[in-house]
Amino acid sequence: MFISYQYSGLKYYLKANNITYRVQISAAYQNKIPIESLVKRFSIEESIREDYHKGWFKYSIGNFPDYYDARGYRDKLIANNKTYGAFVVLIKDDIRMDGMDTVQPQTAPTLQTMQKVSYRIQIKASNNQISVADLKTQLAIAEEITEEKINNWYKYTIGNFENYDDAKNLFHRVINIDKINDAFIVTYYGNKRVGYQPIEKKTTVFKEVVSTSKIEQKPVVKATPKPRVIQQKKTVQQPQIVEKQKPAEKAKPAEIPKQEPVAEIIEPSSVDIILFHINSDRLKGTTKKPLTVISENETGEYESQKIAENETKKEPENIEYIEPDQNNQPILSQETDVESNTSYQSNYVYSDTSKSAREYRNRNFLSKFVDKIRFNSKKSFFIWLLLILIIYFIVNLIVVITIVFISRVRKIRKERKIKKIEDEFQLLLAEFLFDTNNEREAYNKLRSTSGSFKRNILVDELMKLCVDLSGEVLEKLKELYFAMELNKDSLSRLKDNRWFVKVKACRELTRMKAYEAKKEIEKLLDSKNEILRAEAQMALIELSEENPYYFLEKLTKPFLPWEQLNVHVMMQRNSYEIPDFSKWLMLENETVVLFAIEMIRVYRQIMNAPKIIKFFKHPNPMLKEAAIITAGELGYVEVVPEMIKIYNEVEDEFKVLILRSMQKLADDTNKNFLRNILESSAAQYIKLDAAKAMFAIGIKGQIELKRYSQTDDAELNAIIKHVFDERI
Amino acid sequence: MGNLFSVFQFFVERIIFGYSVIIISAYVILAIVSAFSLLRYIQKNSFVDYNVILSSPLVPTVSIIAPAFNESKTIVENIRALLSLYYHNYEVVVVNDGSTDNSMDLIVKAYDLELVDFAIGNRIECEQIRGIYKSRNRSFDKLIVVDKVNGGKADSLNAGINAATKDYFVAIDVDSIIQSDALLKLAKPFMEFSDKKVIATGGVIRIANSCIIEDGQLVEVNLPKKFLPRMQVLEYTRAFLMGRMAWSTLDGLLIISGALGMFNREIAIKCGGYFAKTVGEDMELVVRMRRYMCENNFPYKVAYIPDPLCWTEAPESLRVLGRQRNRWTRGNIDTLFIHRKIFFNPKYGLMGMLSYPFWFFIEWLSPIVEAFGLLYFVLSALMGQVNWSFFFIILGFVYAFALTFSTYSILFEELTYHRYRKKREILRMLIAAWIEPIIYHPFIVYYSLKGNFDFFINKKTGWGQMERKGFGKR
Repeated sequence: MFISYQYSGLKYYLKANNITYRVQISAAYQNKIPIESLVKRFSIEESIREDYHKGWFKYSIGNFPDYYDARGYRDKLIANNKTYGAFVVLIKDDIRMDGMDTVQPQTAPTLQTMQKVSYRIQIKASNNQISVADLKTQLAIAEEITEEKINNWYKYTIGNFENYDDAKNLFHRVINIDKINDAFIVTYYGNKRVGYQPIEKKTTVFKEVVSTSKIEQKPVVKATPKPRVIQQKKTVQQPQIVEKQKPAEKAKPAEIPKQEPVAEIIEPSSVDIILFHINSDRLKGTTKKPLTVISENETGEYESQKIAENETKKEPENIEYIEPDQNNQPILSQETDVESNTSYQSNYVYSDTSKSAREYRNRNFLSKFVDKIRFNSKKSFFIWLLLILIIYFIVNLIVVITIVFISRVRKIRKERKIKKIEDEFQLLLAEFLFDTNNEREAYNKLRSTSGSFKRNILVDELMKLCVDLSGEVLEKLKELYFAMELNKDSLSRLKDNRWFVKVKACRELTRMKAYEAKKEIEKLLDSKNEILRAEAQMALIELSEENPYYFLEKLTKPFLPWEQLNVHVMMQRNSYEIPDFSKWLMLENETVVLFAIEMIRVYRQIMNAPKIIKFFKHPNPMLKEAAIITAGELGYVEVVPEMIKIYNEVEDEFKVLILRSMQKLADDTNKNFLRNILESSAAQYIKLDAAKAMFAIGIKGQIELKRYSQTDDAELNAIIKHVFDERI
Repeated sequence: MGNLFSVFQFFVERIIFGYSVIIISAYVILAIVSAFSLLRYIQKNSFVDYNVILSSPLVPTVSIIAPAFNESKTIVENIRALLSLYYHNYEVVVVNDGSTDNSMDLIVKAYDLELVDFAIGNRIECEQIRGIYKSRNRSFDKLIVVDKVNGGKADSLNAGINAATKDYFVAIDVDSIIQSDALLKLAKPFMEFSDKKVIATGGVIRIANSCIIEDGQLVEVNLPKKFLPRMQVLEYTRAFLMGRMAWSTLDGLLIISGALGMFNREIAIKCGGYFAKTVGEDMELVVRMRRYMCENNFPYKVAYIPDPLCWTEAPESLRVLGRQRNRWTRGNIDTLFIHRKIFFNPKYGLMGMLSYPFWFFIEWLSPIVEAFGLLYFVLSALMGQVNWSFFFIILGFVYAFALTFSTYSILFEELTYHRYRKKREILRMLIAAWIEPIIYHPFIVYYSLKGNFDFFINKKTGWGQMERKGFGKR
């Protein structure tokens, strides 16, 4: 069933409803576009109207009571102002309407039911006439072929169905069995060819309609039994009016006017998205541009359709295709001039997209998702990046949590396994070392240990025992170590690239007194790794019994306080003879010199006291400090004049050190020097140390201090009380 | 108006985006640096025998300074724990900061104290000293108790520094549980360099809630049973194992927790000691010491130990937590303002060019930007200008990142110190990581904003009378 849409009635309707047309030139989702930027971009002088419509800011210009005036203006704008993609929009009661659906054509007074609709399948079109018989043979078709001449084109159709489903069945056969891939359904109004149905394959649910091409017959308006305006929503269940066309200039009431606006009816089943497509040029038959449109079908897949005139050759190159926006709705192409819920975005429209369309169809779910959410500045690259990062984080989380739990389980298992092996070794070692009856058997069992994992555990056990054992038993343990050639394992580990493996190996070789490793260990003295250097130093002390501290002369790297501490502790633990540390006072490496001064103090090498006086004026503050403290600790009274001499030249912290040293020296020749300090304006803490030094002199000093306790100087009084308080 | 809003939108969105990229990148870089540093530290430490420190006179001498205010419930036990720490040459200086409870009486009685004629130095200004006490019992010979007029934590520490006689001092909170080997570990970095002076060392602070403590010693480590402390476990683990560790490696550490830190006493005195008029005295001192070294061209280092050395009780109520975070925020702002000269000043090296800007833009500004972003979002939503799909993607991304970051901190703890040994505990930690960004984090942002408000609007700078109860742990 068709609906006739009379132009004069439409005009009357539009006027009665205060309907005007504007040209939309731009739109942005959720973001406003500054008007100035549009003015600048399109060089428009006319005032631009901004409408907020379904989440979009839409910008239009012009105001025409007549649709075609608006169309003309739009074309002018595209040509002169490059407003590509501009289209006509409808304004009703000064409100921008949601496309043509606001027109409510079914209520318009000129809608009439007209002649029958029928459907045929076009199988061929050509510029030259082809014999129907030849064509029948060539295409192996049994049906009668009808020939029509339209615009110098010979078009060949088969079938003639009132029911669209019947036409569709034949169409599917033609496509799938007869393999005529270019075939499509053509709609006829009476005997007039008025349009065509888009090619529909099994998964294709997209419906597209273009206006009728220039034909000799009068244009018609088609209608369905249940005409309905376009609702751009999914799963439309009713027949749709999808197109409204240019009204004829000479319209006659109750007759079908020439070039009447055409309303095409779309098959009701499973239509997801209906796309308006009106092209006045096509109405005039001057344009034969095919149009490819992407739409979403009921299975959620995108389909593209190349809608063409029924030519089979010389297809124009300029194919347009439309991508869906975030609402799954197609964005109208440049050729589209009927409002949809979305707006034109130039980067969404492509030319010659038959390849692009295929690619688009093949894009995965994520791609489609990205396209759905991108808008304006939100580049798909950024959304992609975020999605990839989210996926990365989630995967990462799963991995980390797995690692946490696996490491826990592994740690526990490993600990248990090691514990078990350790227990076995401990038993065997106890038998080997202390049980003469089972000694041989235990020895053999231990020697049969193979595999680096077990051998390493055995070495660890030997190391633990080594610390607590001495004498013959220790020697026995060492014998086992060498007999099992564990020293070779340690030596090979000493050459490992990992510093911590080297440290462990160095420790093993040292404890087992593997002297052959000394040369290799010596190389580690120059290591960049301070832990390795310290380990090498201690190893060389252990392995060089005759001259254990010779390495001090070989040190080129700083001898760190931590290393000094360790070497000192080694000295305490070993029974080696304490060397004369003064021999290292002359070295260039000041850190070694510092160690030597410290050791002179610790081991009270009084004979070396005169040798350290020269360091009182050393530029290295650490050496100066160590020398002053050492002189005091050694009780080397001869240094006092030198100390007094430098006192006024040094900073407060050294003054305190000198006074503290004087407390140890307890020389009454200092009395005047100390008295001067107590009576000076020196800081309280300096005076306190001076008073302590005075007190240390003995009775003479204490008498001197008592004298000050009677002064009015509260600070000095407190200091005197402090030094006399034995509890502090 | 509409255009103005569009321009506003344009800039705001880009600024917030840029800021987020910077903050996320910064945290990722810090986490990576931390991972390597932790690994190296653990490997290195496995060969260290700390016992050598106990048997040599070559180690640094240390004064532990423990300020106490109304700590009568735990002070006697805690002093005993301090006296039994492993170290060779140290003293304990307890500073009673004008307690109004019977703390002083308890200490005097428990340790048989008597007033001595101690001539305390005045190298750093502090409130009036009422008296200095020493024990009659020689076994408590290393204990010095300073009784002074109330002046706040920083003032108490200054008094302690004046009374201290050793080369280095360790500042602690007396209500914290210090691991018995803490001094050994803190002292070691001072002996690891010969070309530069180590001016301070900080350690990791852990949450002691639900842990079993006997005689001031930690006996069993448990994950807190209550929600807030458990969240703080996660927060502390992240901050200490992933943040400060990295800053230490980069030599840009600006803060050493007030609950435990070791300092070169002479440098601290030359810098004027703690600044008593700020609530962020711990950070302020470190920044000032670093400035002093930079300005005098002395090579220096601020070291950091990732070992859990100090255990402290975390706030269990929102009220106390709020007060603590408010105080921390004010302390941060105060320090940043006092030392604004450092800001992007190449003279201060990495501290000026990286650490300070990080604290300024990220530690201080992030809650403000976060709150502003939320406000902007609500406004946009009300105006129907939110692309919800995009919003959910961004939300998902931020949440996934936060979760990953927290999970990594749990992994770090698991692979290094492995303090929470029960399987259930690790699971609880992971669950805490899931809910922390949604439930706990908004409170932290709110308290931080409140701190900003109090600092700039209410001009609140002190601890407040009530706030001295239980020193903040940082």
